[in-house]
Amino acid sequence: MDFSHIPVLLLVGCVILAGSVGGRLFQLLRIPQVVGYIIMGVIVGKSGLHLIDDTMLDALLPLNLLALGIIGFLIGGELRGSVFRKHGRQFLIVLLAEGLTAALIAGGLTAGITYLATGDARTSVALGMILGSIASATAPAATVDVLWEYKTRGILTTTVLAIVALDDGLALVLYSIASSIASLLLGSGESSLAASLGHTGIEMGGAVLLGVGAGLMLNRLVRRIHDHGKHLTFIVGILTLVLGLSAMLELDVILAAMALGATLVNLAPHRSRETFQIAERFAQPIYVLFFVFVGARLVVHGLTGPMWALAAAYVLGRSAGKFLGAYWGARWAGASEAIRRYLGLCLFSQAGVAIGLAIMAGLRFGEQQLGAVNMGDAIVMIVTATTFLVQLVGPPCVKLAVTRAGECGLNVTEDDLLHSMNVGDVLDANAPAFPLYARVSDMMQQIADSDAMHYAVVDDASQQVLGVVTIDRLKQCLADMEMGTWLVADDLLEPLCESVAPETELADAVQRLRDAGLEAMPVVGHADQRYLGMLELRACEKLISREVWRRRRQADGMEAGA
Amino acid sequence: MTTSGQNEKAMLLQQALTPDRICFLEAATKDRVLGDVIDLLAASSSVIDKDALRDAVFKREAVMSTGIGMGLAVPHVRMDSVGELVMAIGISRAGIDDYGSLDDKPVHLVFLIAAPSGAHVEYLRLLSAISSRAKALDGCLLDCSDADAFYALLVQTSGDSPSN
Repeated sequence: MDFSHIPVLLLVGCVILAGSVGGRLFQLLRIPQVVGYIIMGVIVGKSGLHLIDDTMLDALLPLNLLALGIIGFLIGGELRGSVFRKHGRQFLIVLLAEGLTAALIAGGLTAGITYLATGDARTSVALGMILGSIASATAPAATVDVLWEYKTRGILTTTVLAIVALDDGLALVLYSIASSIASLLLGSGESSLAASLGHTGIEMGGAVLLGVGAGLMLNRLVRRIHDHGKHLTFIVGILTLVLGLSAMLELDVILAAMALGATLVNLAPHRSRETFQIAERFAQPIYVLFFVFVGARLVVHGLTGPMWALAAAYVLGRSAGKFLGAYWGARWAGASEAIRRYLGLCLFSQAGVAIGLAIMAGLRFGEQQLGAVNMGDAIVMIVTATTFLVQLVGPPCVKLAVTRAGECGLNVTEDDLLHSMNVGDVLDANAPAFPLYARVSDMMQQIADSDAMHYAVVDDASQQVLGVVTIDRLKQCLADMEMGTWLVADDLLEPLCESVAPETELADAVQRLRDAGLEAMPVVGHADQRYLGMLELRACEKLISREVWRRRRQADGMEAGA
Repeated sequence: MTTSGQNEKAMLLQQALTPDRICFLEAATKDRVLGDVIDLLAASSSVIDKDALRDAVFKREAVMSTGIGMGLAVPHVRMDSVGELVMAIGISRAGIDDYGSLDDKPVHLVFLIAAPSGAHVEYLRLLSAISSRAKALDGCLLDCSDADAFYALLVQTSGDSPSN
């Protein structure tokens, strides 16, 4: 069946839905959702059913760029000046250690295997240098998606974000050096080392300048316009402008978006928080699309025997280099135990930048032969095939690392907690309940020891709730204390309008309270409607705020101790 | 209690009560007395459903007696089928022995109050006003010869209170 004529919107809709289903299935298996998106892509893509081909992928390339741009923008939003002032030296040492070690080990192993296979020292070193430089790159998207999915916060999370943000820059510099030296070694020196580095400098410097300029503009716009609904329009507008200009001027797209985010967060740390939240919400379907297409692009066929050996050497060398380099670097920089032990596990992912550099190398060294294989094709195939593997293994490793470091669930918002808890988790089971005939004077004595402000009035026999008496109504009796001796709960009760079961999701219950303009609702058993306790909006909000604060303090405590 | 507070209570009493809703009772049992006062209050245009009023009054009495002592009873209900806060008073010179009052003494004055479900604050204030006013006037109310005199004595403001 020919799927090439499927309308783009239909394709996008199907991909987002299928990806979401895949992500959810993997979530249920406790595997990061990003793996589900990628697997869905693999199933429908070039290694699977071929429902998505190169033409479709090329047609949707701008969406990929947008996804990368949003990821870059959000990572930039994590790059606070205060964090860099505090941990900058540590980040730099760890970055250089993990990037260079991965480059050296992956490069050394691939060069060694190539030499054993071909006996050609120059070609072997050239290939090793190119693959080594590409090995230093880490894909931010899949890594960051796992951090967001598991709401992580702490020193490991901060370090991972900083390292993946800076890693692309390091990879670009290393590739510039490696490709120039490789050209000299192979005698195809079309450009000098200085020219190559100069080009990289322009690519990176231009991206930073563009991002900072756009960040200044976005800050002014967000400051002047108080309608948050319009902020999304400006964010998407400015971000798309930056991405489009970066692509047109051949600047580093992710770096430009990161500079935009970093500028905004450092100019307006508090005001921009909502801006980033808006972007994050908007980004979800684009992420799904992006990762499904990452999976759809992946191909493993085409590798011959010796190429498999090179691919294995590359992926093992790169993973070992990332892990050991991160450990050594963290140790040298005096970083905390969590960074030493777990940072390496967070750096396995490889995608866009690595494939991009591989394609550039493929074009540049397309004339060179590696035995019977074209060297350019070999580089592209090795990087693409290994990307397939690390994109599937990387996210679970990130999950393992942040879980072991105890950083999962520390970056929750009040909304996250409301959705993760049930009414039963927060109900006040000690809130006094009274029979209809309870005298107000007796009620006053009992409520003196309670924090609750709403009290259920229950039927003596069935324990079913008949209504609620509020502290406000009781207060009205204080003016004439004698009334308390002859008024009873029945005289003050508000008939029951709403009740809630303990299994109800807290977010739903709170929304019901707000919609009904109520301060509290009795919690009753699902089957027998018996009174179990009181859900009070005020107490619930206080508890949730306190829990968010506690988790943030815990995460910040980890950072302070690092 | 401040003078303004007393005036406010007198105003509340004036709003809820008219002299034609005050009667002298012949009956001597609680149920019959309550029935008579309910009939009296149901004559008010504010009471939309007499049966609902009767049911509500007796249901409330079943929870706990509204005899509050010192010869007073204040049966009271809140319900949707009442347009505004209204009151009727039954006077029993002989006293109602079976009312089940807090102090176990016979009840002489029955103040029946019906309020709309939403008029909670006014309802409590009226209950408070009756309690304090009737107790302040002590036995004077029983000495009134007719409904008009009773009404005048009950709703008069603090400035012309007999105690002053």
